[in-house]
Amino acid sequence: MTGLDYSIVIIFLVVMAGGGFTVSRLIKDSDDFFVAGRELTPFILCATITATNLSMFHFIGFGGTAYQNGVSIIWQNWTGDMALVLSGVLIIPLMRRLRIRSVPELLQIRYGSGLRVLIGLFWALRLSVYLGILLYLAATAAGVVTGYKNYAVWLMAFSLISILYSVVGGAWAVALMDSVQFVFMLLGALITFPIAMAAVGGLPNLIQWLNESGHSNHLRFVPQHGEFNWLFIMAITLLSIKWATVDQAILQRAFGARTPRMAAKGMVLAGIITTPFAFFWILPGLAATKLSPGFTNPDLAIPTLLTTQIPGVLTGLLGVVLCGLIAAQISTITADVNSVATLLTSDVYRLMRRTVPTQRELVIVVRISSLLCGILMLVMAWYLQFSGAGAVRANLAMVGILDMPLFVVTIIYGLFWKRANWQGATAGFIIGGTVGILCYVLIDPKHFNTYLAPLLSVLPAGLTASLTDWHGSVSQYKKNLLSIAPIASSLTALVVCPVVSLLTPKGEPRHEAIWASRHTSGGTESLETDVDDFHFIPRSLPGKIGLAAILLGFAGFVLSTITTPLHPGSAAAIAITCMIAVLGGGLLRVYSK
Amino acid sequence: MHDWMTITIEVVGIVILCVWTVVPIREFGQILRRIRAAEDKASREQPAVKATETTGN
Repeated sequence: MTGLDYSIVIIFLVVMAGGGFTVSRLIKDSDDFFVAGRELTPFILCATITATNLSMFHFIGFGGTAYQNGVSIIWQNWTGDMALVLSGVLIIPLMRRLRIRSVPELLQIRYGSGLRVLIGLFWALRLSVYLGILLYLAATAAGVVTGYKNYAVWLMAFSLISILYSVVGGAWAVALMDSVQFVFMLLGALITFPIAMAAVGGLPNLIQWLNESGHSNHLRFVPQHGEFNWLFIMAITLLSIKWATVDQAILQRAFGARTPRMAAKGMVLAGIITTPFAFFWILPGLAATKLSPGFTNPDLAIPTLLTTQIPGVLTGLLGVVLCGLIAAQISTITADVNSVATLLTSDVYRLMRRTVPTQRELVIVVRISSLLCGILMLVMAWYLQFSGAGAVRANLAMVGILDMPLFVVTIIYGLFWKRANWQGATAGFIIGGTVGILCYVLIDPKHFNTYLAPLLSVLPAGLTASLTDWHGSVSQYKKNLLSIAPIASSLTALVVCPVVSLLTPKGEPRHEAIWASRHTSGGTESLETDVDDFHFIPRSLPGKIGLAAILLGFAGFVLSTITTPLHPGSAAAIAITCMIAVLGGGLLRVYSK
Repeated sequence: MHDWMTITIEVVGIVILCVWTVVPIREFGQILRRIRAAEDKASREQPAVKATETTGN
């Protein structure tokens, strides 16, 4: 890196900080801090949702996974884009109408306050761990790019900058900064992509080289074999729907929409623009397969590509690309820290306190929450440097175990089954998560030997023998753990929640408000000019066609992917066509009555 | 020299970049105007409320 590169990065950080302080004056109450006063419009929402979503995890983590395993990791993005459309059209308008700030708040309306505190705490912990993964990636990349490989210093620098941004400005700063950072992020990707392609002699040459050098599986969008095969795509589809419907960081941005329709538009637009952009991190990853083969840690592939290819083109260009990467990282971290503060303040502290807290108390709680979140993410980031699992795998393991049961009890039973009660939801969440953890402990020999083997001596001999035998017979499925764990945890929650709900008393009905939110309020939102007119079932013909395209396209995608072994040659073409139908249908649906 | 696939992907990216530079600037401007108008309205109403409290009406 040259002095000019460093100067560009420093100027960028200073200007961003100035913007954050300016925007902080917009904060007058807690709604301003948590959901930007519910004033956000579709394109800003789209930018903030996309910037919250995209981070170095995509540019470096996905690029690195493409480097090691091929193009099929792109479905983690693309299934997420379809999920944004589904959630934006079917789920988010309902939640926005309830005027909630968080998913745990929805759980309180539906199941009662106990589950709200439990999930609030869980989600704050879960986001902090994800932030640790992002920090690990940022520190690893910064070490490679600058040549200054002091991991601890980079961790501290990134965490301090991010926490400062989010604590000072709240959701308003997150929204404004996200919009600016989104532009820098795109700029970084637009610079890197053609340089990487030129280095390998163009995309057709890269495709030819991958085919001839024994990497043909790298080019299969829906492969039959390998870790990221069709089964993985199905598992990631489940996780993506979960992500777009219960992820606090994404939803909190959507709750800032001025009206339910604007929330839907923001989600659908975010899904559409991220779809072509997935190529900007996947294809450089494939190019790195040719340019720098041999990395065992895939997360080093893209930083190495950046430092070896970009400086030769123009001095200062690497600085601009780094601004994009830092922007992507900071926007995600600030949004997540803001979400953790929301969860711990609104969902945990307020509920556990008997009297109404003062604004001064809330400010202190927000700061303590952000500090706790910072400590947790630092611990996780420190641990990850030794694990060597790769950021994408680490995150997939975590969401597979814990998030799927939450999705089942919140969305499937919470929004669509009246009889579900708090006992069923709590049992479904806890037992589903436990089964997800057991999958890893029983199937992966590394985890079995570390966590379960030491306990075997104290267990009865018969049980020890059964567990060891069982481990021996299932350990061959270790390479499919990323697919097995989320499917097992969600199926468990799907069964446990209704069984426990039916075995326990009905309790007082708590579904009325949720069911009522399916209909438009008929009144006005935010300002007198904004009418709530987004119907769950569309009134116009284009709206109905749009909704049909979404549902049929998604069903076609799932059917085609599940049956990949029967038609391996056409699976990718069908899946991509169905995805385009979902995205097009989404656009038609949100822009018609 | 770049191939048509690279150029197509790059052009799509540039179009998205242009749209998301222009439109959010306009939308943020509108939001700030709305907030300012709401603040002005509130400050105009404030003295009227005080006057009512003083006269006891």
